[in-house]
Amino acid sequence: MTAPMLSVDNLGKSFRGLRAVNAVTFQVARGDIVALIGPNGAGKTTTFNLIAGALPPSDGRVLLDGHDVTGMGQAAICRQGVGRTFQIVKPFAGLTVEENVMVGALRHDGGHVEKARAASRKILDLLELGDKATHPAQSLTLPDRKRLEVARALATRPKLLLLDEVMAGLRPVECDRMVAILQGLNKESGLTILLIEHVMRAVMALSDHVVVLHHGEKIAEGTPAEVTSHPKVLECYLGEEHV
Amino acid sequence: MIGSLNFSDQSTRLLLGLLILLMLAPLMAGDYMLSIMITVLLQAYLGMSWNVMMGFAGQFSLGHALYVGLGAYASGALFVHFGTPPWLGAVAGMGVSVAFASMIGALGFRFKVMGVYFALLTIAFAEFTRVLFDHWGWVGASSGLFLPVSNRSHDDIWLLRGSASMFYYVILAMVAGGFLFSRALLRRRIGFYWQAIRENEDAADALGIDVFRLKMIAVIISAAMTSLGGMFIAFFNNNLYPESIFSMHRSIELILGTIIGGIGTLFGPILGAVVLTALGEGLTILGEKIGIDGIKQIAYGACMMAILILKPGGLWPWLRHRLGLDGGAK
Repeated sequence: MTAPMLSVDNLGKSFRGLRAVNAVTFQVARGDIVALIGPNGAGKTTTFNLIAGALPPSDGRVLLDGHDVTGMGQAAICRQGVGRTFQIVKPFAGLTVEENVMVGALRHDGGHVEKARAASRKILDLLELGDKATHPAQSLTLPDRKRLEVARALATRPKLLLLDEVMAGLRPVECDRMVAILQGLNKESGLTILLIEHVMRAVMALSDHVVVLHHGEKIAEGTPAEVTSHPKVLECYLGEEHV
Repeated sequence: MIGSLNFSDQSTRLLLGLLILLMLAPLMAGDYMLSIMITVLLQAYLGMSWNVMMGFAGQFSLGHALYVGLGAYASGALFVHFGTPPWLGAVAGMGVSVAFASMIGALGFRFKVMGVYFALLTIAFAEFTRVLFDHWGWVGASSGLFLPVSNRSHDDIWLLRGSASMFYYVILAMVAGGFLFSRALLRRRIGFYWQAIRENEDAADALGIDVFRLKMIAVIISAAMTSLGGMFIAFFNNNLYPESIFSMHRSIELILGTIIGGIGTLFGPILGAVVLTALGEGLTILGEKIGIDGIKQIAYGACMMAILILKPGGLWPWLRHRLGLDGGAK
């Protein structure tokens, strides 16, 4: 039995007195798409930042492919094969769309610029940004910036992709397109994906497995159908009287 | 083609034309004109050196006079005391500058001193080095270091003793070299990584870029380039005073051309140097004609403000667009 792609073990984070994440444990199997859901302030993005290495955890461990990567730092974890997007998008505003993606792609092929450009073009085409390749990134609309985040993370050729609310602000049709793109990547290249998402339409369509956080703790996990009928989940989303 | 010279490329042809024109200039220009052109080229070279750090990698230095001074004093003092050829002295100067730059970079980047606070750190280093040199007898302390001026009968490029036109060609070669070097950096992986760091450090980090290491490289390259310019100043002026070579005034003067021309662009430092010097000289002549003292400084300041308000990105991006060179040279 091989190790899961990602194993989060008893992860915790305190910001001074505030316990943002507490004893969260879950696993992401190789080739799976797992969604992390929960109400606002549940600690989803903090959990993400702990996994990606943007923040050091107060306690617990993060294992990638069986290797301990806890507290390694964002750049080092990226080099281990984890690509991430930011909920609050962070484009390289002064560069073109294509150059943004090239920065990610330059990690490979010995840093050859023209090869990185070709690789970036393919990724941009996949995400339907191909016709905007030479536009400055600052000219993009928010949905396009979200796509650019995904493109840039993909360019680093991750084995695990962390997506932080990339559907937010997309129209239903665009959302379906993104779902199809991610499913394609998952099926064709076996890319493992962990996503934070509020758009339930996307969560239901995409996920093999759903983890629910509330007040920094895991309250439920299972298939999309299981968690959406779980009493605790209904309670935290809809209030007690609805249950 | 990226990285190689493509002669059908419009911007490359423009550059070659300019270079040929500049190479022929000493044949036509008088002494006064030649000294002004040397000033312009020196300003352009130093601006380029600063641009690597600020323009490409986004790390703000307000203390680049430090590296000018270290390069100037290292090569000057070695020449005065041991007769060491300036080009070897420049290597020593670069070594010392790199050591200082590494110290400033390591301190600043390790402890996340950013933006203006980082700039303050660079000023602090330049200032205490000035004070140190002011009291260091071996390099002449505050009364200055003087290079022997003799043997002007022929141009000796190895010892950098000779006519103004020799100095002109030396600084022209340095500008051309600096330009090609900057271009090569900007078009390679390192240039992309620097720009990513400049635009958003956190996102660059998330893409696996070793931000600390790349910022250190930028600071080190910039310092080494700047100190070579310092060597030129030492041998062109033949006198060095800590008061002027390490001054805050020089640090500011050094970056003005690049700011006016366009930070982060390849041609900006050159254009900025030309515009600033032309403006300065033109206003001096105008001021003499009008006969009001101090009118030059006021007009100079007003022009600079006008440029910065109207073209905050610098003159080159605007001119490049006007010339239809967009997508060509940066």
